[in-house]
Amino acid sequence: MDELMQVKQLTFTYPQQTIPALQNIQLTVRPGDFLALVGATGSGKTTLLKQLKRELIPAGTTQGQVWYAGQAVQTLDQATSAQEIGFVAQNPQTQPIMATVMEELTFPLENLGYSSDVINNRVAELANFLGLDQLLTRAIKTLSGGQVQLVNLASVLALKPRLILLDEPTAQLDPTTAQNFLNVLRQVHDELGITIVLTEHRLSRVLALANRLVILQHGQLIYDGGVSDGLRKMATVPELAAFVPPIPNFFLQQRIPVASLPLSIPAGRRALAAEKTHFRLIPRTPVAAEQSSSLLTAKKVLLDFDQQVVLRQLSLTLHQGEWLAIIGKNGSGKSTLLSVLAGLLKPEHGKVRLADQVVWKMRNLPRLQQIAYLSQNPTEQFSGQTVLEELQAQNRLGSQPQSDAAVEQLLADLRLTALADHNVFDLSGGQQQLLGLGLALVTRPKVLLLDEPTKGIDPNTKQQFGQILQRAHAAGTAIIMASHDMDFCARYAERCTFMFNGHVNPPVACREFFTQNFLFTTAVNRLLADQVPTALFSEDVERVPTKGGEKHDGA
Amino acid sequence: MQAGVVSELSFFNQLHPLTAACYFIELFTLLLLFNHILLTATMFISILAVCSWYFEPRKIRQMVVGSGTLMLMIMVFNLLLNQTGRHVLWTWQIGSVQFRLTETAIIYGCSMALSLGAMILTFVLFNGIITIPKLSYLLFPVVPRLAMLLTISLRLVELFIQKMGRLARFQKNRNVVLTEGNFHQRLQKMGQLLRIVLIDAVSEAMETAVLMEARGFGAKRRSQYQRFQFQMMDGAFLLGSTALFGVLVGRRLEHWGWATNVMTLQWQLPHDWLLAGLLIVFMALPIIGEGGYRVWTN
Repeated sequence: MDELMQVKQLTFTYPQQTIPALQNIQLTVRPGDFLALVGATGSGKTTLLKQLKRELIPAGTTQGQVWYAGQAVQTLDQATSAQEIGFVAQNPQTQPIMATVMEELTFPLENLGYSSDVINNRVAELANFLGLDQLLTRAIKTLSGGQVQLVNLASVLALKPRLILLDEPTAQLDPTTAQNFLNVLRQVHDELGITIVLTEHRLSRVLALANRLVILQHGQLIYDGGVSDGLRKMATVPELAAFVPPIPNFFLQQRIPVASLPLSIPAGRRALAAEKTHFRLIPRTPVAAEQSSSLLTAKKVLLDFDQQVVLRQLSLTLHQGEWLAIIGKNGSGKSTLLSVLAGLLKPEHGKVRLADQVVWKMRNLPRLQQIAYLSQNPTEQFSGQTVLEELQAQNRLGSQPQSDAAVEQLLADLRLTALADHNVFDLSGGQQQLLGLGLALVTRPKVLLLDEPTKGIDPNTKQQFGQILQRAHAAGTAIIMASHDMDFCARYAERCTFMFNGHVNPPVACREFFTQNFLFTTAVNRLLADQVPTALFSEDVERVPTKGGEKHDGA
Repeated sequence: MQAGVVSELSFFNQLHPLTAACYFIELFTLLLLFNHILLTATMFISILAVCSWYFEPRKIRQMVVGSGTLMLMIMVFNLLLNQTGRHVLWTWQIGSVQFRLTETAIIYGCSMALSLGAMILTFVLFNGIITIPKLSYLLFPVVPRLAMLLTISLRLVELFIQKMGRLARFQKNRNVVLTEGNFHQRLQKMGQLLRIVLIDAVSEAMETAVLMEARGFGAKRRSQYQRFQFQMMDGAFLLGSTALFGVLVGRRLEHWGWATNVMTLQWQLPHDWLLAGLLIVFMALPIIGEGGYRVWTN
């Protein structure tokens, strides 16, 4: 049989909804495929993915059919479904149920009644293949997000599935960890021949692995084919244009004629060299940096967790109206630093002052009126009411509460007006992030602290997020954001610094920071490092006219 | 209260779960069998010494502080409430209310506090030796569903504690501060946090349940991968501990080490010293085992 999975004219509607989440989907997954399922938030890609495994099919009305190896997915018995179709969820912490890595790996095998010898052999083989052998006795709670996601994948692989479905598996991981995870996934696909279907927002790394791209828009399948042509198609759809990764996007924006859009830096450089294309920086008037008075200062802060030093004699100053980005890997202490700056954690030594007041000695209300904080997981700051009620409640805490009309305007700016009566826990991840930002801004704070603000959100929401922040910054709010999203930091922040080993380097102007780095910088900067080392984005450069005085113009 | 898991290289941790479980059953039983102060003090000090052997000094300090607070509370309550004892040491009168500090109250209070302290420390040691996989291994053949339920519950409790910690920190941004306000306000705020954590936990638990099912949970009768071998050292340890336990229970049946009437409690009785010696040997069995294990090292 040539097809592993067949989706035939599938239409699916969620309960109490009139518009179908999926409309007339026709899709075939062949053995050995690595299929990337792409679409904006709400396009139906997760809904489609969940139709491919019987345990995950959501409640609703279905028309059409989904077949797995010649049998309707809904009629597969549970053991076959578990054995042959694996699933890895977006949030790494949702899947583990056992206490240690070893137990988690054996869990599915025990469920299907395998003998102790088979389990031990299978786990030994798998742990060595995936490099988990050193982690077997570790408790799940002591692992990083990337390690947990790897354990989740291993736990699914233990049953030797023919097909693995992954729902944005790297959305919660930092870029380095995400790359490691994808490397393992490539290994699983290439060496074990397992078919992969995954949904993803961050496409820059995933597309290099995929042999097929499937694009969904408003529940309809609008493209199914090769990656390069799919990217060209995405660039023509306004709501998907932002999803095109920086390297192929550069070639499309600069109209460089290439048969197949390059997806990686080396491929991009080779294509530029083959086309003999040269670029120069578009001259722009530099914005004079004004050194205003300091607003929030941290001095010689030292903090440890379980006898491990997290912040090491750290000093940092945020000036009035400044926008500072702190860049660093997961576990470098960025979140802890922000919690200390917000007065939520008290360090062992050192002081953090807002004007002349030590932040953790301030009463809570005046502190939150001046320093707003948005954590990585905004749901931890929600109180379980509706969107509007949450915003109104937080507004009342402000030193000068805004009018109802102003709160409704903020709701509109966040594009949450239609969801005003929805419970906050029913929103999508991106919408929750936007509401979190709204809660932080509604009190009109002097300082806004953001911890990984773009984590797990799609490129469109990211743009919207950036624009709202720009308005708040223009109104005088000073911002510190901890992030590993290079493009976002380079596009929006004024100054940047690197955090590692418990302290931060002296902040420098953003362009200077990124053009000095060779690893932690934007994709376009790495692509053009030899030609225009100060370029960060495609719009920073223009093509140098050829000898005849004309530019090449691509297709 | 937890102090971590005992090292895998230790003799005690290498015992078969059944052997270790039998030893702990005997140990817990002995803690309930004697109320003479010399014996309760012996048991407390012995178990503290065994814990100090296996756990880090920092954890021991935390344990002593934690259990010491409870012990002190038990002591104070006994002194306050036990007013009919022998040998009045001090009296104090306010109006018609008279407080009598008696020797009986002191002995009984100390004995109760030491018993409680020893029980807590033994439980910490139990947690360090009988880990979840071992407990699951023991329960699985008898009550497989309970074994699984126990494993899942412990994981969820762990997640719940982590979540509460994060909420307590981040909800300060919503002006929910557990350490501010009067008792009623604090109680209300705690209720608010619990409500949030429950809403969040329910949605996450639903997803986790689906993912468990997706990995075949409930599809077939589960198997058990954990295998432990019953070795010669298990036999020797079990034999030694059970024999000693038998002797101690035998003495107890002859009313040694137990006062049925609080009024008859004394600091010490002649039999107590012999029982204390036997108890020390029983509680030191794991340490004796460690010595033997090291002697056998190549």
